[in-house]
Order: sequence, then C-alpha cells, then structure tokens
Amino acid sequence: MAPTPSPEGSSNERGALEALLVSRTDVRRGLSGGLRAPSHATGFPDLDAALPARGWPVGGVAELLVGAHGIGETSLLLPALAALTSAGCWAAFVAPPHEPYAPALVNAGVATERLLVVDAPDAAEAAWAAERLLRSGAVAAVVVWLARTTPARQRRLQLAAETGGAWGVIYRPADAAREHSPVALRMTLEVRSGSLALGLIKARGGVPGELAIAPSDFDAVQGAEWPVPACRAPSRAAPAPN
Amino acid sequence: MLWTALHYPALALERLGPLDPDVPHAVAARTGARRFVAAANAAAAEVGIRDGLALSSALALAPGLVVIERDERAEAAHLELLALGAIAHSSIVVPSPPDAVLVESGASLELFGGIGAFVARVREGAVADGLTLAVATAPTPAGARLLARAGREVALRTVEGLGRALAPLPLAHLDLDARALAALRRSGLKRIGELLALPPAAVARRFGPALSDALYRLDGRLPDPQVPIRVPPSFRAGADCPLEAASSGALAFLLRRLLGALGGYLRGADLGVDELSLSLVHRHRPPTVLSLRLAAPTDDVAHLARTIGARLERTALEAPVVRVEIEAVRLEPVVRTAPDLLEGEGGAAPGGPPAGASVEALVDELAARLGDARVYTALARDEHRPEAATARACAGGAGGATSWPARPLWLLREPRVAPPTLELASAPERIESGWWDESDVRRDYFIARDARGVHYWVFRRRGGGGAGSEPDGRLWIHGLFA
Repeated sequence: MAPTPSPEGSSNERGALEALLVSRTDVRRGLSGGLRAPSHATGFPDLDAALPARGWPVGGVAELLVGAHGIGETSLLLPALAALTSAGCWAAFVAPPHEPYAPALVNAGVATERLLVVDAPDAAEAAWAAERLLRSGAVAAVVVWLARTTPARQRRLQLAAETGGAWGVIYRPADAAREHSPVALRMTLEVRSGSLALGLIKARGGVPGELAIAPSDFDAVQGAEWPVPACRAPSRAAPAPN
Repeated sequence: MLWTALHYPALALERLGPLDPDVPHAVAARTGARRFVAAANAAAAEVGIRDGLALSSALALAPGLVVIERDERAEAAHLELLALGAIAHSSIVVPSPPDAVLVESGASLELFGGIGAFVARVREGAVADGLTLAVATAPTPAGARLLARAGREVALRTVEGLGRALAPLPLAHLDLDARALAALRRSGLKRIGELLALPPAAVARRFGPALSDALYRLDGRLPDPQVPIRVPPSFRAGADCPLEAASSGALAFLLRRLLGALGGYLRGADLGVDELSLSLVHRHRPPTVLSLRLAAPTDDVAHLARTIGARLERTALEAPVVRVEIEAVRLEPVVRTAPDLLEGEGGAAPGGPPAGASVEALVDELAARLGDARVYTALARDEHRPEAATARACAGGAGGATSWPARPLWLLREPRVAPPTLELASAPERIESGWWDESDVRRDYFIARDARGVHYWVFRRRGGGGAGSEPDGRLWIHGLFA
C-alpha cells in the first residue's frame, strides 16, 4: 500500500514549491537548521516528502484528526519533539488526554525537562494557554488537545503560531474533519491494516494525498523497543487469554 | 556630584490613587483647633479651594467636598516606597520628607545617555504612576530640592548656574520659619539672590547661624552630607487603600506602587525575587493571602505585575480590601548581563511576541492563571513501580537518563478494567516492586490492542502486597500507546 508521493513530485505545484524552496536562502529542510527553519523534519521520510514544507510547519498549525487515542498519533510527533528538546528548544503539551508518562518520553529521546505540560480546566483555557505559548516565541512546539473549538479560535492559534514562529499541533476528534479550519495543515490519522494511515485533507501550498507509516518506520525512529504498531499480535480471532 | 530632586507636590492626594477628577477632594490638616486645606485636587481648585483655606470655608465653597484627613505616617511610608522605587534610577537615594526624593544622578547619567534622557525616564515612570512630578537637577541637594519645590524644572551642572537660577526666587522658597522670614522682610530683602550677595559674616550676624547654614548649603559653600536609604536585607511593604477596594481591578494602582518599590529594591540589592506573598487585608476578616512561586528569580516588575494580575483575576475577593502588603519571601542574587535601565517597561508591541519572552516568565503566567499544579514537566524516575517512574516536576527540573522497555505515552491515573475484546500483542513483562515499598506491586504487563488499532498497556495482578491487589485474573488498562 503506502502510495508515497515521490520527493521529486509530479504536479506543477510541487515543482513550483520546490523551485521556491531552493531559491530561498532562509529556508532549510529538516531540523539541522534549528528553530528559524520553516519546517521541522518529522523523522518519517515519506511524511516529510508529502508535506508542503517537507516537515512540520514552523510558524503554522497542523491539525491532526484522530478517532481514538492510542494509535500512535502522538508518537508521530516524538522524533521532531525529541530533536527540538535535545537541541535546547522548549516544547509544550497543553491539555493532554492523560498524564504524559516520562519513561516513554525518555525512550523516544525527548528531553522531558524542556517539555512543558499544561493542564487546563476546559477547552477555552486550553486554547488560551496554547495561544499564549505559540505567540510567545519562547516555545518551539506546542501540542494541544482540543475537543471543542471554533474556526475563530483555530485562526487565532494559526496566527499565534505565525507570530511566534512556532510549530503548533492541534488534536481533534475525527468527526471534525467536516468542519472548516483555517490552519496550515490538516490530516486524519487511523490504523489501517496495521499501519498508521495519514490522510492529508488540507496542505497549504501542497497537494492533498494519502500515505501510510509502517510499523517498522516507528521502530526505526524510536531507537527503543516500540510497540506501535510493531508488535505482531496473535490473530484477531483469539480472545484475550483468561 | 549632581543631584536630581523629584518633588511630588500633590503626594498627599495622589498617594490615594486615582480619584474621581470631577469630584472635589481635599486633604485636611490641623494646627491646634484650626483645620485647613493642605491639598486639593483640580476640581476643588476650580471652585476656589486653595491650600491653607479654612476647612469650614472650603466646605462652604463645595458642599460635596470629599475631605481626607492628613495622615503623615502614611504619607511618609508612601514617600519611602517612592524612594525605594527610585533606586532603579540611582544607587544613592535620599527621601526628603514630606514630598521629595533626592537622587544622586551624576553617576547614572552615562547609563541613561545624559540628563535629558534621565529626567525623561523618571518623568515617564511618574506619569504611568499617576503622580505629578517636578524635577530639578543641581550640584547641591538643597539647591535641587528648592528649585524643584519652586517649580523651576531646570538641569544645572555648575554652582554658578545654580546661583543664577536661585537669585530671582522669592525668599519664601527658603525652608524657614515664619519669624526668620519676617526678619528678612524687615531688612527689605525680597529675593534669594539679594541674600546670597551679602557677605557671609553679615548674614550670620544679622539673621543667625541657622539661616546662614541653610543658605550656604544651597549653593555648596557649606557641605550638606546626605544619608542615603539603605537597601534592607528583606522586602516587605504595604499600603492602605484610601477607599475600600471592592474589586481586584481597583487594586491595580496600589500594586503598581508596591511593585515599583520592590523593583527599585531588587535592582539596588542585585536580587531577584523567587517567591512572593501578597496579602489583601480585609476589615473584620482574615486577610486573603496569595503566594506566588516564580519559575526563576526575577526583578522584572512588569512581569511580576502581569503574574499577580493573572492570579488576582482568578481570585474572588470575599470582602473589600483595606490594605495591600507585599513580602518577598525568597530572594536570590541575579546576574545582570547589561544595564537594562534603558529598556522601557515591557516594551512589547501589542499582539507581537513580548520582548525577551522567557519560558520562565511564561510558566509563571500560565501557573498564575491555571494554578501551580497545572504546569509541570514530567520527570522520569528510576523506579520499578510503573506509577512511580514518572513524577511531576516544577517546570525546569531535570530528569535522569535511563531507558525502559516499551512504555506507553499516556499513563492512566487510575487503572481501569479492560474490556474482554482486547487481544494481547506481546510477551509479559514481569514488574515487581519490593516489599519495602508501601504499595507493593507484582504484575505482569502486556501490550494489548483492540479492533480500532488502539494499543494499551495492560497488566494482570500476581497477588501479594496490600489490599485490593489480590490476583483476580482480570486485565487492567494502565496506559495508552498514543
């Protein structure tokens, strides 16, 4: 499966973007450039190739739509977060659905002392905190879980990310895919045939498309034994023992 | 040396905060049985109420006059706050009661880029604080103070210039008692210049040594040593609310004054405040005490004001506030890389990224609004018991570098019973914590998943340990591989 777009691109848009990226000296691909680069390498080459900025947008918000927590949706961010925090940059989780478990973060190479965790009593406060952090210019990446939000609030977050030069990620329920959202990048995440299937439904300056991240890709970037979705499970039919 | 006198002519009124400008206000003082007006605001002056007017006459002119009794103790305390705040401008600061602060400015001029910039900065602060201010600079402290009190806002670098500036001023500006003033008048003298032109011996003989001393301190012929305020080892300051403040917003004015003093103090002592306690005193009720822990020691008053403001917004006041007190609970030395005196307060363009935004400042702001416990970093700990292997650290704490077998990104605070449809997807990992630990743990952990592809970290109890941990064969979800 994995209909990965080739990095060279086939469409005109891809070519024009490629030319633009090459022509700009302030544009660097991936993480080696540090904070000021317009994108952070995702750690997944296929995903980098599919994204218009060749990585997570810096100065922009990526909206990730997930049906259920626990499919590797946040592990998808960990290679970039690990690189950022190890390089001395700060990142933040705002209103995560559960308590972040430090051993998993350490396994993934995240410098947890530079990963700020902010709990919020409700969605409005979570949006406030995320906006404040994105706008500050002091935090490189802000990941926020928002069950409820409005286009106006999304726009504020996108603007805050642009102002602060930060990479923002918003996790929202899958059914929000139907709503309009003024962010730079939107994609759906779900597990299909054991792989994490990403559906790009909006990519500012790029083309929508689909790709899949195989379990082995997760192994490669985690550097530690990582089960998502690498573990070969017994057959579906087998019920849990006992 | 060069002295700059900061004269606050309306301090008696302005220490009370922003008063309704349309309502006449007056401060009433008393000599013996006579009560008279000691200060009046513009609305009172408009109807003819002047300093020195009998209070009964003032009330006749403006029946709605709000009369505030003079409180010299409170005024002196307020002047002390302003003096502490002035340490931000100079290391030598002398309060000159009742209404002036003397600042040695010669040493500070280089920092501020000349006297004009220095005065502009001082004035800016006063405007922001809602204070009327007259500023004069002269080579002698007494000369600067006299010029400022006389409203002659000049900057003089030489004694000759000072003499020329003093000469046309009426004798009444000299700080003399009525008797000495009368004696001078009888001699036909009207202006300070005429007095300064007399031979010193004649002045002393005719008008007494007290007058000649005061006179020659003015132009520097006599030394006039000043005792600067010492930076105290700790900071605690309070101010009374003139009118009971019912809302948090109304406290902003007093907080500004107190924080201004704290800022001057911190700069003077080269300290940053780490922990701050704010007491809002109520009548007939225990005070509301807010404790602020800051992510890093700071002397940034604008940041402190924002942090306190955010906290106050969340604080419901159950009773009007009659007094505000601030105490620096913990102070730490701070290293200043460069004199940041030239930076304005904040300096952030609205909507833009705040100048010099630091993560520490952000953490403080978030914690002030959301609560201290809601802002943290996850700290990995080398513990067998899974729930103990993560801890909430104050933002900024560093963790150890260990590595674990597969661990879930989210840990549930309370394990919950797994639905029977989960399928196990890994070999068991046996986790036992010792008997020495109060919550004894013997569990087999597995990775399990459901039909949607959600991966769980689940365990089955193996017995032993305390109540509620008997083996029951059930699977418990403890985490999610998000």
